[in-house]
Amino acid sequence: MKVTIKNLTFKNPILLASGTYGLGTKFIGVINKMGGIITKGITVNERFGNPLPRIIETPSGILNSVGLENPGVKKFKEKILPILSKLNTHIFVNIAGTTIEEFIILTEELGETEISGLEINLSCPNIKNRQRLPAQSPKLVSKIVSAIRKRTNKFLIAKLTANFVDPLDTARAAIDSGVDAVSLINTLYGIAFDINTKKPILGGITGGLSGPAIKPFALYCIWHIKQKLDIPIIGGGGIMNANDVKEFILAGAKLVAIGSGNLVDPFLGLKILKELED
Amino acid sequence: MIVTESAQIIAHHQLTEEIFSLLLEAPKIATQVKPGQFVMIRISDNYSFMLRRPFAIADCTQNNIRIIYRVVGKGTKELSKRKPKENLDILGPLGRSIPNLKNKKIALCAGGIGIAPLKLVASKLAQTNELYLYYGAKTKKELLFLNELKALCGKLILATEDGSWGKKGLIVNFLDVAFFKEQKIEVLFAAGPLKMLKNLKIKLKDFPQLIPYVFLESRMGCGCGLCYCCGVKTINGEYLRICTDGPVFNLHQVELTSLEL
Ligand SMILES: Cc1cc2nc3c(=O)[nH]c(=O)nc-3n(C[C@H](O)[C@H](O)[C@H](O)COP(=O)(O)OP(=O)(O)OC[C@H]3O[C@@H](n4cnc5c(N)ncnc54)[C@H](O)[C@@H]3O)c2cc1C
Ligand SMILES: Cc1cc2nc3c(=O)[nH]c(=O)nc-3n(C[C@H](O)[C@H](O)[C@H](O)COP(=O)(O)O)c2cc1C
Repeated sequence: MKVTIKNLTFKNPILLASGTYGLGTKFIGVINKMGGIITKGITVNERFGNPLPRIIETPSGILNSVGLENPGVKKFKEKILPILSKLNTHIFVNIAGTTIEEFIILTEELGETEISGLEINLSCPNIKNRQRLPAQSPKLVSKIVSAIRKRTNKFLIAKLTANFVDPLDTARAAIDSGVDAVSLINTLYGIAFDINTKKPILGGITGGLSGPAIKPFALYCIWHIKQKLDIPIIGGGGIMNANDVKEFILAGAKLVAIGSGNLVDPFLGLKILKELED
Repeated sequence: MIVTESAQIIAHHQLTEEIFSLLLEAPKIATQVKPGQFVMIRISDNYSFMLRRPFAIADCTQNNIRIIYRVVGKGTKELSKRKPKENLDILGPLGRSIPNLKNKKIALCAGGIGIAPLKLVASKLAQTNELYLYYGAKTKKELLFLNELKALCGKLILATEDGSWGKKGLIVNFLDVAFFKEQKIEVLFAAGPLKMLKNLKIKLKDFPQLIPYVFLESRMGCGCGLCYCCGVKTINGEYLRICTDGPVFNLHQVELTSLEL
Protein backbone atom coordinates (compact mmCIF):
# COMPACT_ATOMS: atom_id res chain seq x y z
CA MET A 1 0.00 0.00 0.00
CA LYS A 2 3.05 2.27 -0.22
CA VAL A 3 2.60 5.63 -1.88
CA THR A 4 5.38 7.91 -3.05
CA ILE A 5 5.00 11.61 -3.75
CA LYS A 6 8.15 13.50 -4.68
CA ASN A 7 10.79 12.71 -2.06
CA LEU A 8 8.43 11.15 0.48
CA THR A 9 7.29 7.55 0.71
CA PHE A 10 4.21 6.80 2.83
CA LYS A 11 3.73 3.28 4.23
CA ASN A 12 0.04 3.51 3.38
CA PRO A 13 -2.25 6.19 1.99
CA ILE A 14 -3.94 7.07 5.29
CA LEU A 15 -3.27 10.33 7.08
CA LEU A 16 -4.89 11.73 10.21
CA ALA A 17 -6.41 15.11 9.33
CA SER A 18 -5.52 18.37 10.99
CA GLY A 19 -7.52 19.27 14.07
CA THR A 20 -8.87 15.78 14.62
CA TYR A 21 -5.86 14.14 16.22
CA GLY A 22 -4.62 16.87 18.48
CA LEU A 23 -0.94 17.71 18.29
CA GLY A 24 0.06 14.09 17.73
CA THR A 25 0.96 13.23 21.30
CA LYS A 26 -1.89 10.83 22.07
CA PHE A 27 -2.71 7.33 20.74
CA ILE A 28 0.85 7.01 19.48
CA GLY A 29 0.27 3.35 18.64
CA VAL A 30 -2.35 4.42 16.11
CA ILE A 31 -0.30 7.28 14.69
CA ASN A 32 2.74 5.12 14.06
CA LYS A 33 0.71 2.75 11.89
CA MET A 34 -0.65 5.54 9.67
CA GLY A 35 0.94 7.01 6.56
CA GLY A 36 1.25 10.24 8.49
CA ILE A 37 -0.32 12.76 10.82
CA ILE A 38 -1.13 16.40 10.29
CA THR A 39 -1.14 18.42 13.51
CA LYS A 40 -3.77 20.84 14.70
CA GLY A 41 -3.29 24.28 13.12
CA ILE A 42 -0.38 26.15 14.69
CA THR A 43 -0.32 29.94 14.81
CA VAL A 44 2.44 32.43 15.61
CA ASN A 45 0.92 33.35 18.98
CA GLU A 46 -0.90 31.12 21.41
CA ARG A 47 -4.66 31.12 20.80
CA PHE A 48 -7.28 30.21 23.38
CA GLY A 49 -9.90 29.48 20.73
CA ASN A 50 -13.62 30.27 20.50
CA PRO A 51 -16.17 30.30 23.32
CA LEU A 52 -18.13 27.10 23.98
CA PRO A 53 -19.98 25.27 22.62
CA ARG A 54 -17.57 24.38 19.88
CA ILE A 55 -19.21 21.29 18.43
CA ILE A 56 -22.66 20.11 17.50
CA GLU A 57 -23.98 17.10 15.72
CA THR A 58 -25.86 17.58 12.44
CA PRO A 59 -27.48 14.98 10.18
CA SER A 60 -24.53 12.77 9.13
CA GLY A 61 -22.16 15.52 10.13
CA ILE A 62 -20.40 17.64 12.67
CA LEU A 63 -20.30 21.41 12.90
CA ASN A 64 -17.27 22.78 14.77
CA SER A 65 -15.93 26.17 15.74
CA VAL A 66 -12.80 25.37 17.72
CA GLY A 67 -11.15 28.58 16.58
CA LEU A 68 -7.61 27.25 16.27
CA GLU A 69 -6.88 26.76 19.95
CA ASN A 70 -3.15 26.00 20.04
CA PRO A 71 -0.06 26.79 22.13
CA GLY A 72 1.61 28.99 19.47
CA VAL A 73 4.69 28.04 17.48
CA LYS A 74 7.30 28.74 20.20
CA LYS A 75 5.70 26.51 22.82
CA PHE A 76 4.89 23.95 20.13
CA LYS A 77 8.57 23.70 19.19
CA GLU A 78 9.71 23.58 22.77
CA LYS A 79 7.18 21.19 24.29
CA ILE A 80 5.56 19.19 21.48
CA LEU A 81 8.12 18.73 18.71
CA PRO A 82 10.49 16.69 20.91
CA ILE A 83 7.64 14.21 21.45
CA LEU A 84 6.72 14.15 17.76
CA SER A 85 10.29 13.56 16.65
CA LYS A 86 10.06 10.10 18.26
CA LEU A 87 7.11 9.10 16.08
CA ASN A 88 7.68 6.54 13.41
CA THR A 89 5.69 8.14 10.60
CA HIS A 90 5.44 11.34 8.60
CA ILE A 91 4.62 14.45 10.58
CA PHE A 92 3.15 17.48 8.91
CA VAL A 93 2.56 20.65 10.85
CA ASN A 94 -0.54 22.56 9.80
CA ILE A 95 0.40 26.24 9.84
CA ALA A 96 -2.22 28.95 10.06
CA GLY A 97 -1.15 32.53 9.47
CA THR A 98 -3.50 35.47 9.29
CA THR A 99 -1.04 37.49 7.18
CA ILE A 100 1.80 36.66 4.80
CA GLU A 101 4.24 37.84 7.44
CA GLU A 102 2.83 35.31 9.89
CA PHE A 103 3.11 32.50 7.36
CA ILE A 104 6.74 33.52 6.85
CA ILE A 105 7.46 33.46 10.59
CA LEU A 106 5.84 30.02 10.89
CA THR A 107 7.89 28.72 7.97
CA GLU A 108 11.11 30.08 9.39
CA GLU A 109 10.36 28.61 12.81
CA LEU A 110 9.50 25.17 11.45
CA GLY A 111 11.35 24.94 8.13
CA GLU A 112 14.55 23.55 9.63
CA THR A 113 12.98 21.11 12.11
CA GLU A 114 12.80 17.34 11.76
CA ILE A 115 9.22 17.22 10.49
CA SER A 116 8.36 15.83 7.04
CA GLY A 117 6.61 18.94 5.84
CA LEU A 118 4.12 21.72 6.29
CA GLU A 119 0.43 21.82 5.51
CA ILE A 120 -0.37 25.43 4.72
CA ASN A 121 -3.80 26.14 6.14
CA LEU A 122 -5.33 28.53 3.64
CA SER A 123 -8.86 27.57 4.51
CA CYS A 124 -9.72 27.68 8.21
CA PRO A 125 -13.25 29.07 8.52
CA ASN A 126 -12.99 29.58 12.27
CA ILE A 127 -10.92 32.73 12.55
CA LYS A 128 -12.88 35.80 13.50
CA ASN A 129 -12.81 39.08 11.58
CA ARG A 130 -11.59 37.38 8.49
CA GLN A 131 -13.75 38.33 5.53
CA ARG A 132 -12.24 35.88 3.09
CA LEU A 133 -10.22 32.71 3.28
CA PRO A 134 -6.86 32.95 1.49
CA ALA A 135 -7.85 29.83 -0.42
CA GLN A 136 -10.77 31.69 -1.98
CA SER A 137 -8.37 33.69 -4.11
CA PRO A 138 -5.90 32.07 -6.53
CA LYS A 139 -3.82 35.24 -6.30
CA LEU A 140 -3.51 35.08 -2.52
CA VAL A 141 -2.74 31.38 -2.70
CA SER A 142 0.13 32.13 -5.12
CA LYS A 143 1.47 34.90 -2.96
CA ILE A 144 1.46 32.92 0.28
CA VAL A 145 2.74 29.69 -1.23
CA SER A 146 5.56 31.45 -3.13
CA ALA A 147 6.66 33.25 0.01
CA ILE A 148 6.80 29.95 1.88
CA ARG A 149 8.45 28.00 -0.94
CA LYS A 150 11.25 30.56 -1.11
CA ARG A 151 12.11 29.83 2.51
CA THR A 152 12.00 26.08 2.82
CA ASN A 153 12.73 22.90 0.90
CA LYS A 154 10.29 20.92 2.98
CA PHE A 155 7.40 19.01 1.46
CA LEU A 156 4.54 21.50 1.19
CA ILE A 157 0.82 20.81 1.13
CA ALA A 158 -1.74 23.52 0.42
CA LYS A 159 -4.96 22.98 2.33
CA LEU A 160 -7.62 24.41 0.07
CA THR A 161 -11.28 25.15 0.46
CA ALA A 162 -14.33 24.48 -1.67
CA ASN A 163 -16.35 27.27 -0.07
CA PHE A 164 -17.48 29.79 -2.69
CA VAL A 165 -14.55 29.17 -5.05
CA ASP A 166 -13.60 26.73 -7.80
CA PRO A 167 -10.84 24.67 -6.16
CA LEU A 168 -9.45 23.89 -9.61
CA ASP A 169 -8.25 27.49 -9.87
CA THR A 170 -6.68 27.55 -6.42
CA ALA A 171 -5.16 24.09 -6.84
CA ARG A 172 -3.50 25.26 -10.05
CA ALA A 173 -2.22 28.40 -8.32
CA ALA A 174 -0.84 26.35 -5.44
CA ILE A 175 0.95 23.85 -7.66
CA ASP A 176 2.34 26.58 -9.94
CA SER A 177 3.72 28.32 -6.86
CA GLY A 178 5.57 25.26 -5.66
CA VAL A 179 3.54 23.01 -3.35
CA ASP A 180 4.06 19.26 -3.60
CA ALA A 181 0.43 18.32 -2.98
CA VAL A 182 -2.93 19.88 -2.32
CA SER A 183 -5.29 18.82 0.44
CA LEU A 184 -9.05 19.18 0.29
CA ILE A 185 -11.78 19.66 1.13
CA ASN A 186 -11.61 21.46 4.42
CA THR A 187 -14.90 21.94 6.25
CA LEU A 188 -17.81 23.66 4.54
CA TYR A 189 -19.38 26.79 5.95
CA GLY A 190 -22.21 26.11 8.36
CA ILE A 191 -24.38 27.65 11.04
CA ALA A 192 -27.10 26.30 13.33
CA PHE A 193 -29.69 28.09 15.44
CA ASP A 194 -31.37 27.30 18.71
CA ILE A 195 -35.02 27.85 17.91
CA ASN A 196 -35.84 28.52 21.57
CA THR A 197 -33.28 31.22 22.25
CA LYS A 198 -33.30 32.27 18.56
CA LYS A 199 -29.50 32.52 18.72
CA PRO A 200 -26.73 30.64 16.92
CA ILE A 201 -25.73 27.58 18.93
CA LEU A 202 -21.96 27.65 18.38
CA GLY A 203 -19.87 29.97 20.51
CA GLY A 204 -18.04 31.03 17.36
CA ILE A 205 -21.47 31.71 15.74
CA THR A 206 -20.49 30.07 12.43
CA GLY A 207 -18.64 26.80 12.06
CA GLY A 208 -17.23 24.25 9.68
CA LEU A 209 -19.26 21.26 8.52
CA SER A 210 -17.53 17.90 8.19
CA GLY A 211 -18.33 14.20 8.17
CA PRO A 212 -20.27 11.91 5.82
CA ALA A 213 -22.62 14.78 4.93
CA ILE A 214 -19.87 16.40 2.86
CA LYS A 215 -18.42 13.26 1.29
CA PRO A 216 -20.12 13.36 -2.15
CA PHE A 217 -19.14 16.99 -2.54
CA ALA A 218 -15.56 16.26 -1.48
CA LEU A 219 -15.36 13.43 -4.00
CA TYR A 220 -16.76 15.71 -6.67
CA CYS A 221 -14.14 18.40 -5.99
CA ILE A 222 -11.28 15.92 -6.26
CA TRP A 223 -12.66 14.34 -9.40
CA HIS A 224 -13.27 17.79 -10.86
CA ILE A 225 -9.66 18.89 -10.31
CA LYS A 226 -8.34 15.58 -11.62
CA GLN A 227 -10.16 16.07 -14.92
CA LYS A 228 -7.86 19.01 -15.68
CA LEU A 229 -4.79 18.69 -13.50
CA ASP A 230 -2.68 15.64 -12.81
CA ILE A 231 -1.44 16.63 -9.35
CA PRO A 232 -1.04 14.78 -6.04
CA ILE A 233 -4.20 15.26 -4.01
CA ILE A 234 -4.80 14.43 -0.35
CA GLY A 235 -8.51 13.77 -0.29
CA GLY A 236 -10.82 13.90 2.66
CA GLY A 237 -14.32 14.68 3.78
CA GLY A 238 -16.46 12.15 5.60
CA ILE A 239 -14.20 9.11 5.48
CA MET A 240 -15.63 6.55 7.92
CA ASN A 241 -14.53 3.20 6.46
CA ALA A 242 -12.34 1.41 3.92
CA ASN A 243 -14.88 1.74 1.13
CA ASP A 244 -14.84 5.50 1.56
CA VAL A 245 -11.05 5.42 1.17
CA LYS A 246 -11.40 3.41 -2.04
CA GLU A 247 -13.89 5.94 -3.38
CA PHE A 248 -11.51 8.82 -2.74
CA ILE A 249 -8.75 6.97 -4.54
CA LEU A 250 -11.10 6.30 -7.47
CA ALA A 251 -11.92 10.00 -7.58
CA GLY A 252 -8.20 10.71 -7.95
CA ALA A 253 -6.73 11.12 -4.47
CA LYS A 254 -3.24 9.77 -3.87
CA LEU A 255 -3.51 9.98 -0.11
CA VAL A 256 -6.57 10.34 2.11
CA ALA A 257 -7.13 12.09 5.41
CA ILE A 258 -9.49 10.88 8.13
CA GLY A 259 -11.01 13.77 10.08
CA SER A 260 -14.31 13.62 11.93
CA GLY A 261 -14.10 9.83 11.93
CA ASN A 262 -11.31 10.11 14.52
CA LEU A 263 -13.67 11.88 16.90
CA VAL A 264 -16.19 9.09 16.60
CA ASP A 265 -13.50 6.47 17.11
CA PRO A 266 -9.84 7.28 17.83
CA PHE A 267 -8.93 3.82 16.53
CA LEU A 268 -10.72 4.30 13.19
CA GLY A 269 -7.43 4.66 11.29
CA LEU A 270 -6.30 1.24 12.49
CA LYS A 271 -9.66 -0.31 11.70
CA ILE A 272 -9.68 1.10 8.18
CA LEU A 273 -6.13 -0.06 7.59
CA LYS A 274 -7.05 -3.56 8.65
CA GLU A 275 -10.11 -3.54 6.39
CA LEU A 276 -7.92 -2.42 3.49
CA GLU A 277 -5.35 -5.13 4.14
CA ASP A 278 -7.94 -7.94 4.36
CA MET B 1 -5.07 2.72 28.40
CA ILE B 2 -8.12 3.98 26.56
CA VAL B 3 -9.90 1.28 24.56
CA THR B 4 -13.08 0.76 22.61
CA GLU B 5 -15.16 -2.17 23.69
CA SER B 6 -18.29 -3.78 22.38
CA ALA B 7 -20.13 -4.06 25.67
CA GLN B 8 -23.11 -6.30 26.17
CA ILE B 9 -26.06 -4.86 28.06
CA ILE B 10 -26.61 -7.03 31.12
CA ALA B 11 -29.47 -5.04 32.60
CA HIS B 12 -31.30 -1.88 31.70
CA HIS B 13 -33.80 -0.55 34.22
CA GLN B 14 -36.03 2.44 34.32
CA LEU B 15 -35.65 3.94 37.81
CA THR B 16 -37.99 6.91 37.44
CA GLU B 17 -39.90 8.50 34.59
CA GLU B 18 -36.67 9.97 33.20
CA ILE B 19 -33.80 8.12 34.85
CA PHE B 20 -32.32 4.81 33.72
CA SER B 21 -29.66 2.45 35.01
CA LEU B 22 -27.58 0.66 32.40
CA LEU B 23 -25.33 -2.22 33.40
CA LEU B 24 -22.70 -3.16 30.83
CA GLU B 25 -20.24 -6.00 30.60
CA ALA B 26 -17.02 -4.22 29.70
CA PRO B 27 -14.07 -6.02 31.31
CA LYS B 28 -11.34 -4.18 29.37
CA ILE B 29 -12.62 -0.87 30.67
CA ALA B 30 -13.89 -2.03 34.07
CA THR B 31 -10.51 -3.34 35.20
CA GLN B 32 -8.98 0.11 34.69
CA VAL B 33 -11.66 2.44 36.06
CA LYS B 34 -10.85 5.04 38.69
CA PRO B 35 -13.47 7.18 40.43
CA GLY B 36 -14.15 10.37 38.51
CA GLN B 37 -13.78 8.77 35.12
CA PHE B 38 -16.37 8.46 32.37
CA VAL B 39 -17.09 6.65 29.12
CA MET B 40 -18.34 7.74 25.71
CA ILE B 41 -21.20 5.63 24.37
CA ARG B 42 -21.94 5.35 20.69
CA ILE B 43 -25.70 5.55 20.48
CA SER B 44 -25.93 3.86 17.10
CA ASP B 45 -23.63 3.14 14.21
CA ASN B 46 -25.79 4.97 11.72
CA TYR B 47 -24.95 8.58 11.05
CA SER B 48 -27.94 10.18 12.74
CA PHE B 49 -25.92 10.07 15.97
CA MET B 50 -22.47 11.15 14.86
CA LEU B 51 -21.09 11.99 18.28
CA ARG B 52 -20.74 9.64 21.19
CA ARG B 53 -22.42 10.69 24.45
CA PRO B 54 -20.42 11.06 27.68
CA PHE B 55 -21.58 9.36 30.90
CA ALA B 56 -19.99 9.03 34.30
CA ILE B 57 -19.17 5.59 35.60
CA ALA B 58 -21.44 5.17 38.60
CA ASP B 59 -20.46 1.65 39.65
CA CYS B 60 -17.69 -0.65 38.67
CA THR B 61 -16.87 -4.28 39.39
CA GLN B 62 -14.25 -6.59 37.89
CA ASN B 63 -16.21 -7.01 34.65
CA ASN B 64 -19.05 -4.54 34.67
CA ILE B 65 -19.72 -0.86 34.70
CA ARG B 66 -22.93 0.91 35.44
CA ILE B 67 -24.20 4.15 33.93
CA ILE B 68 -27.05 6.13 35.46
CA TYR B 69 -28.54 8.60 33.07
CA ARG B 70 -31.41 10.97 32.58
CA VAL B 71 -33.24 11.13 29.26
CA VAL B 72 -32.83 14.74 28.12
CA GLY B 73 -32.68 14.64 24.32
CA LYS B 74 -32.59 12.48 21.26
CA GLY B 75 -29.45 10.49 22.10
CA THR B 76 -30.45 9.50 25.60
CA LYS B 77 -33.98 8.76 24.34
CA GLU B 78 -32.56 6.39 21.75
CA LEU B 79 -30.25 4.85 24.35
CA SER B 80 -33.20 4.16 26.64
CA LYS B 81 -34.65 1.82 23.98
CA ARG B 82 -31.66 -0.54 24.00
CA LYS B 83 -32.41 -3.99 25.39
CA PRO B 84 -30.40 -6.52 27.41
CA LYS B 85 -28.15 -8.75 25.24
CA GLU B 86 -27.68 -5.96 22.70
CA ASN B 87 -24.18 -4.52 22.44
CA LEU B 88 -23.03 -0.93 22.75
CA ASP B 89 -19.75 0.46 21.46
CA ILE B 90 -18.08 2.28 24.35
CA LEU B 91 -14.84 4.21 24.65
CA GLY B 92 -13.05 4.48 27.97
CA PRO B 93 -12.00 4.88 30.64
CA LEU B 94 -11.77 8.62 30.04
CA GLY B 95 -10.73 11.59 32.14
CA ARG B 96 -8.67 11.66 35.28
CA SER B 97 -9.17 10.07 38.61
CA ILE B 98 -10.11 12.15 41.63
CA PRO B 99 -7.15 12.91 43.91
CA ASN B 100 -6.05 10.21 46.29
CA LEU B 101 -7.35 11.13 49.75
CA LYS B 102 -6.85 9.41 53.09
CA ASN B 103 -8.04 10.02 56.63
CA LYS B 104 -10.04 13.09 55.73
CA LYS B 105 -13.52 14.31 56.41
CA ILE B 106 -15.11 14.80 53.04
CA ALA B 107 -18.47 16.19 52.01
CA LEU B 108 -20.20 15.07 48.82
CA CYS B 109 -22.88 17.27 47.32
CA ALA B 110 -25.09 15.75 44.63
CA GLY B 111 -27.88 17.45 42.74
CA GLY B 112 -30.19 15.15 40.76
CA ILE B 113 -28.31 12.94 38.31
CA GLY B 114 -25.09 14.31 39.82
CA ILE B 115 -25.35 11.32 42.12
CA ALA B 116 -24.04 9.16 39.24
CA PRO B 117 -20.33 10.12 39.41
CA LEU B 118 -20.50 10.66 43.18
CA LYS B 119 -21.69 7.12 43.77
CA LEU B 120 -18.40 5.65 42.59
CA VAL B 121 -16.49 8.42 44.35
CA ALA B 122 -18.29 7.56 47.59
CA SER B 123 -17.59 3.85 47.36
CA LYS B 124 -13.89 4.54 46.79
CA LEU B 125 -13.42 7.31 49.38
CA ALA B 126 -15.44 5.54 52.05
CA GLN B 127 -12.67 2.97 52.39
CA THR B 128 -10.23 5.48 53.91
CA ASN B 129 -12.22 8.60 54.79
CA GLU B 130 -15.27 9.81 56.65
CA LEU B 131 -18.06 10.93 54.31
CA TYR B 132 -20.96 13.35 54.65
CA LEU B 133 -23.46 13.23 51.82
CA TYR B 134 -25.65 16.17 50.83
CA TYR B 135 -28.09 14.93 48.24
CA GLY B 136 -30.93 16.84 46.66
CA ALA B 137 -33.41 16.04 43.90
CA LYS B 138 -36.65 17.37 42.49
CA THR B 139 -38.85 14.91 44.31
CA LYS B 140 -38.63 11.92 46.62
CA LYS B 141 -38.80 9.51 43.67
CA GLU B 142 -35.55 10.87 42.27
CA LEU B 143 -33.55 10.34 45.46
CA LEU B 144 -31.85 7.13 44.39
CA PHE B 145 -29.73 4.40 45.99
CA LEU B 146 -30.35 5.68 49.51
CA ASN B 147 -29.62 2.36 51.20
CA GLU B 148 -26.32 1.88 49.42
CA LEU B 149 -25.34 5.46 50.13
CA LYS B 150 -26.26 5.16 53.79
CA ALA B 151 -23.85 2.26 54.10
CA LEU B 152 -21.02 4.39 52.70
CA CYS B 153 -21.61 7.79 54.25
CA GLY B 154 -21.66 8.49 57.96
CA LYS B 155 -24.20 11.24 57.58
CA LEU B 156 -26.85 11.90 54.94
CA ILE B 157 -28.57 15.23 54.47
CA LEU B 158 -31.39 14.90 51.99
CA ALA B 159 -33.51 17.55 50.33
CA THR B 160 -36.18 17.75 47.68
CA GLU B 161 -37.33 20.79 45.76
CA ASP B 162 -40.99 19.98 46.40
CA GLY B 163 -40.46 18.99 50.02
CA SER B 164 -41.70 15.44 49.44
CA TRP B 165 -38.69 14.05 51.36
CA GLY B 166 -36.01 15.49 53.63
CA LYS B 167 -35.52 19.22 53.78
CA LYS B 168 -37.37 21.42 51.33
CA GLY B 169 -35.26 23.43 48.90
CA LEU B 170 -32.01 23.31 46.99
CA ILE B 171 -29.33 21.10 48.52
CA VAL B 172 -26.61 23.76 48.32
CA ASN B 173 -28.61 25.87 50.78
CA PHE B 174 -28.10 23.22 53.43
CA LEU B 175 -24.31 23.27 53.39
CA ASP B 176 -23.74 24.77 56.81
CA VAL B 177 -20.55 26.69 57.59
CA ALA B 178 -20.73 26.14 61.34
CA PHE B 179 -21.21 22.41 60.90
CA PHE B 180 -18.32 22.11 58.39
CA LYS B 181 -16.05 23.95 60.85
CA GLU B 182 -17.14 21.92 63.82
CA GLN B 183 -16.68 18.62 61.96
CA LYS B 184 -13.42 19.80 60.32
CA ILE B 185 -14.60 18.92 56.82
CA GLU B 186 -11.73 19.79 54.49
CA VAL B 187 -12.76 18.63 51.04
CA LEU B 188 -15.95 18.77 48.99
CA PHE B 189 -16.90 16.91 45.82
CA ALA B 190 -19.96 18.28 44.02
CA ALA B 191 -21.82 17.15 40.92
CA GLY B 192 -25.08 18.39 39.52
CA PRO B 193 -26.63 20.88 37.15
CA LEU B 194 -24.63 23.96 36.22
CA LYS B 195 -27.07 26.13 38.15
CA MET B 196 -26.29 24.20 41.31
CA LEU B 197 -22.55 24.59 40.78
CA LYS B 198 -23.00 28.31 40.23
CA ASN B 199 -24.91 28.59 43.51
CA LEU B 200 -22.19 26.57 45.15
CA LYS B 201 -19.51 28.94 43.88
CA ILE B 202 -21.30 31.88 45.52
CA LYS B 203 -21.86 29.95 48.71
CA LEU B 204 -18.20 28.93 48.94
CA LYS B 205 -17.19 32.48 49.83
CA ASP B 206 -18.23 31.45 53.35
CA PHE B 207 -15.99 28.36 53.31
CA PRO B 208 -12.48 29.69 52.66
CA GLN B 209 -10.75 26.60 54.06
CA LEU B 210 -12.61 24.03 51.97
CA ILE B 211 -11.11 22.51 48.82
CA PRO B 212 -14.05 22.27 46.42
CA TYR B 213 -13.87 19.76 43.58
CA VAL B 214 -16.65 19.82 40.99
CA PHE B 215 -17.67 17.59 38.09
CA LEU B 216 -18.07 19.69 34.95
CA GLU B 217 -19.86 19.00 31.68
CA SER B 218 -19.58 20.54 28.26
CA ARG B 219 -20.41 19.34 24.80
CA MET B 220 -17.75 16.94 23.65
CA GLY B 221 -16.37 15.76 20.37
CA CYS B 222 -13.95 12.92 20.93
CA GLY B 223 -13.85 12.63 24.75
CA CYS B 224 -10.14 11.85 24.62
CA GLY B 225 -8.21 15.05 23.94
CA LEU B 226 -8.02 15.03 20.16
CA CYS B 227 -10.46 17.70 19.00
CA TYR B 228 -10.27 20.60 21.51
CA CYS B 229 -14.05 20.98 21.45
CA CYS B 230 -14.87 20.59 25.14
CA GLY B 231 -13.38 22.79 27.77
CA VAL B 232 -13.74 25.17 30.64
CA LYS B 233 -12.10 28.56 30.91
CA THR B 234 -9.69 28.97 33.77
CA ILE B 235 -9.37 32.17 35.73
CA ASN B 236 -6.33 32.89 33.49
CA GLY B 237 -8.46 32.84 30.34
CA GLU B 238 -7.09 29.66 28.81
CA TYR B 239 -9.16 26.53 28.31
CA LEU B 240 -8.66 23.26 30.10
CA ARG B 241 -10.09 20.13 28.52
CA ILE B 242 -13.01 18.59 30.40
CA CYS B 243 -12.15 15.24 28.82
CA THR B 244 -8.46 15.00 29.66
CA ASP B 245 -7.78 17.61 32.36
CA GLY B 246 -11.09 16.84 34.08
CA PRO B 247 -13.92 16.10 34.40
CA VAL B 248 -13.13 17.02 38.03
CA PHE B 249 -11.80 20.53 38.67
CA ASN B 250 -11.11 22.76 41.61
CA LEU B 251 -14.03 25.16 41.53
CA HIS B 252 -11.78 28.10 42.43
CA GLN B 253 -9.75 27.65 39.25
CA VAL B 254 -12.52 27.68 36.65
CA GLU B 255 -15.02 30.17 35.23
CA LEU B 256 -18.42 28.49 35.22
CA THR B 257 -19.80 31.21 32.97
CA SER B 258 -17.76 29.75 30.10
CA LEU B 259 -19.80 26.55 30.27
CA GLU B 260 -23.10 27.41 28.60
CA LEU B 261 -24.27 24.32 26.72
C1 LIG C 1 -18.03 13.96 31.62
C2 LIG C 1 -19.53 13.90 31.53
C3 LIG C 1 -20.21 12.97 32.30
C4 LIG C 1 -21.60 12.89 32.22
N1 LIG C 1 -22.23 11.96 33.00
C5 LIG C 1 -23.57 11.85 32.95
C6 LIG C 1 -24.25 10.87 33.74
O1 LIG C 1 -23.63 10.10 34.49
N2 LIG C 1 -25.61 10.80 33.65
C7 LIG C 1 -26.31 11.64 32.82
O2 LIG C 1 -27.55 11.51 32.78
N3 LIG C 1 -25.70 12.56 32.07
C8 LIG C 1 -24.35 12.70 32.11
N4 LIG C 1 -23.72 13.65 31.33
C9 LIG C 1 -24.54 14.46 30.44
C10 LIG C 1 -24.88 13.66 29.17
O3 LIG C 1 -23.71 13.46 28.42
C11 LIG C 1 -25.91 14.41 28.31
O4 LIG C 1 -27.12 14.49 29.02
C12 LIG C 1 -26.16 13.70 27.00
O5 LIG C 1 -25.01 13.80 26.17
C13 LIG C 1 -27.35 14.28 26.27
O6 LIG C 1 -27.48 13.67 25.01
P1 LIG C 1 -28.85 13.77 24.19
O7 LIG C 1 -28.58 13.38 22.80
O8 LIG C 1 -29.92 13.03 24.90
O9 LIG C 1 -29.24 15.30 24.33
P2 LIG C 1 -29.29 16.43 23.21
O10 LIG C 1 -29.53 17.71 23.89
O11 LIG C 1 -30.17 16.03 22.08
O12 LIG C 1 -27.78 16.38 22.72
C14 LIG C 1 -27.27 17.18 21.71
C15 LIG C 1 -25.76 17.20 21.84
O13 LIG C 1 -25.38 17.95 22.99
C16 LIG C 1 -24.63 17.17 23.87
N5 LIG C 1 -25.04 17.45 25.26
C17 LIG C 1 -26.28 17.78 25.68
N6 LIG C 1 -26.29 17.95 27.02
C18 LIG C 1 -25.03 17.72 27.44
C19 LIG C 1 -24.39 17.74 28.72
N7 LIG C 1 -25.06 18.03 29.85
N8 LIG C 1 -23.07 17.46 28.79
C20 LIG C 1 -22.38 17.16 27.67
N9 LIG C 1 -22.93 17.11 26.44
C21 LIG C 1 -24.23 17.40 26.34
C22 LIG C 1 -24.92 15.73 23.48
O14 LIG C 1 -23.88 14.85 23.84
C23 LIG C 1 -25.11 15.83 22.00
O15 LIG C 1 -23.88 15.86 21.32
C24 LIG C 1 -22.32 13.76 31.38
C25 LIG C 1 -21.64 14.69 30.60
C26 LIG C 1 -20.26 14.77 30.68
C27 LIG C 1 -19.54 15.77 29.84
C1 LIG D 1 -12.92 19.51 15.32
C2 LIG D 1 -12.21 19.80 14.02
C3 LIG D 1 -11.07 20.63 14.01
C4 LIG D 1 -10.40 20.91 12.82
N1 LIG D 1 -9.28 21.70 12.86
C5 LIG D 1 -8.59 21.95 11.71
C6 LIG D 1 -7.39 22.71 11.72
O1 LIG D 1 -6.91 23.18 12.78
N2 LIG D 1 -6.74 22.94 10.54
C7 LIG D 1 -7.21 22.43 9.35
O2 LIG D 1 -6.60 22.64 8.30
N3 LIG D 1 -8.34 21.68 9.31
C8 LIG D 1 -9.04 21.43 10.46
N4 LIG D 1 -10.18 20.65 10.40
C9 LIG D 1 -10.64 20.12 9.13
C10 LIG D 1 -10.24 18.65 8.93
O3 LIG D 1 -8.84 18.53 8.90
C11 LIG D 1 -10.84 18.07 7.64
O4 LIG D 1 -10.28 18.73 6.54
C12 LIG D 1 -12.35 18.24 7.57
O5 LIG D 1 -12.94 18.02 8.81
C13 LIG D 1 -13.01 17.32 6.52
O6 LIG D 1 -12.76 15.97 6.78
P1 LIG D 1 -13.78 15.02 7.63
O7 LIG D 1 -15.13 15.14 6.99
O8 LIG D 1 -13.19 13.65 7.55
O9 LIG D 1 -13.78 15.57 9.01
C14 LIG D 1 -10.87 20.37 11.59
C15 LIG D 1 -12.00 19.54 11.60
C16 LIG D 1 -12.67 19.23 12.78
C17 LIG D 1 -13.88 18.34 12.76
